[in-house]
Amino acid sequence: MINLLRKDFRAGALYLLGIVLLLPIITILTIGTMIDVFGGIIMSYFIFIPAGLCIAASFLFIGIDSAYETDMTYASLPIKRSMIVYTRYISSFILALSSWILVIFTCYISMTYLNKIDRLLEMLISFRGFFVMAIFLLLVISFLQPFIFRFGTGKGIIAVMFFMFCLFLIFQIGRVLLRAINVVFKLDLSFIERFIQDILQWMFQLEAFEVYSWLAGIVLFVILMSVTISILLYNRRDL
Amino acid sequence: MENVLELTNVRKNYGDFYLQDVSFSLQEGYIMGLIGPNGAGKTTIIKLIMNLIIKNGGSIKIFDKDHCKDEVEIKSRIGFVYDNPHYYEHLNLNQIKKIIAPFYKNWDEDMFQHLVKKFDLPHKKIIKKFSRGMVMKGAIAIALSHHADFIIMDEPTSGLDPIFRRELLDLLYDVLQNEKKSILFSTHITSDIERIADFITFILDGKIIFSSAKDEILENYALIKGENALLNEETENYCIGVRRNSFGFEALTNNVLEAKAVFGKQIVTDRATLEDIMYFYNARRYND
Repeated sequence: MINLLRKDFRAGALYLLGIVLLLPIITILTIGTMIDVFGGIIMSYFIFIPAGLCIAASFLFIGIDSAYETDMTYASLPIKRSMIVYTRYISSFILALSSWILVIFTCYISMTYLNKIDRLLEMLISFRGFFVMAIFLLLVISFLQPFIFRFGTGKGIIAVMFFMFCLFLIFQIGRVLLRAINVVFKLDLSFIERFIQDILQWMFQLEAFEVYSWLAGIVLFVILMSVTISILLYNRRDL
Repeated sequence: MENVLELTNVRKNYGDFYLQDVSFSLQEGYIMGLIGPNGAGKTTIIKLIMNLIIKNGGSIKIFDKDHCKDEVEIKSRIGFVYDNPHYYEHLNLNQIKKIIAPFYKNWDEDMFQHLVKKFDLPHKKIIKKFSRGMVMKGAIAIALSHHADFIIMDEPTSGLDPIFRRELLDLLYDVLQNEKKSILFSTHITSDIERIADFITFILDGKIIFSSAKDEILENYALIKGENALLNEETENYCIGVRRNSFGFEALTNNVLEAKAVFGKQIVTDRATLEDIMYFYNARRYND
């Protein structure tokens, strides 16, 4: 596994340098523009620019292998396919988290030296902010990886979009159907709402440490599921 | 002597292409040439052996071990050259070597340097600026630098100039001086195969036509030439493929004695090359 990681970092060294240069510049530009134009950081927009870049960065090595079509070359080396999957997850997590640390560091620099003070930026550079974003990044990557292992990078991204669109469609159709059923059969569906409220209430009562532990546990479970699915898919894929 | 490679009833459906019950074996210490026209299934067989594509049925054993279960151990003893080697094009050969070498316990740096020098490959030029022949030479240098017991090469001589092709064949011959090494070599340049192979496996449309010793094949197959008048429905059945022109016909047979008995003394027989064999089998496919 170390050899595979070393391979990725050796092959991607130049591109990593590009990320190290680009990510802070884009983050600073976004912070500056939002504070100067809108008078403050609009969280919902701000989060998605650097977070999107971090997710894109996490697929850097997969992208390089795809661009140079080296998948087959490395699959012919004495390595198990499952090891390639484990390494891909580890390198993606390392890239995403270190990119996010770079974003946080850039936010800190913006606040300290460029005097771009904002309450939301303060929240982002706190441990809680970092933890929540780390969880978000790991979940998104874990969701995307099986598609990449099944279809390859290009087709994988299209498959993800198609899957998301189907989910959206199913959700909308389900909502309409549920409403229609409710009109006809006069069902009492308020138990769903109560169930969600109960969960939220339970969450708010938890201590901070308990919340972190629960979230970490859930993310770990999702990662394990995602890795297992990716190994199954990659083991059956023709290269 | 042990089998280095053994394929038994291997099947693969690949879009419109079907590899049908492919079976052949290669003994330790021999060179096998895998021949067939483009699209016959040579690369598919090699990819299946390397577990790069997943078989639909049958079994593949390498060094008497299952090619999936013992994949890592098997691949550490294989030197593989793909017909279109893909490396990171922004790196140079030295950097590529640094990436690949750690995966092999038996990596021999002196051997690698010797081959790079022999093939006249530049260390610091990036792969993107390599010609196809240079990339192929680099791939061959890598494949031969970890003392592999079994060398698998998919079209290694395509895109190479005749001088290097000859040098490569000599090199492979040298490799075989160690009797425990074996080579599986796919190509459609049949003269290369005729020069060094001990066994030939001919594949056409995903089916094995034959897999035998080269000498046996060249002994059994022959070209027969004669006047068109000698050909009729019955006599044509004794030919694998026939080519007619205004001067007469030329046909391939795999039984010279039988052909002589059928056609009599009015035909001339000539030695068939592997190219002739491939040509007439391929022509028969269209006639059928």
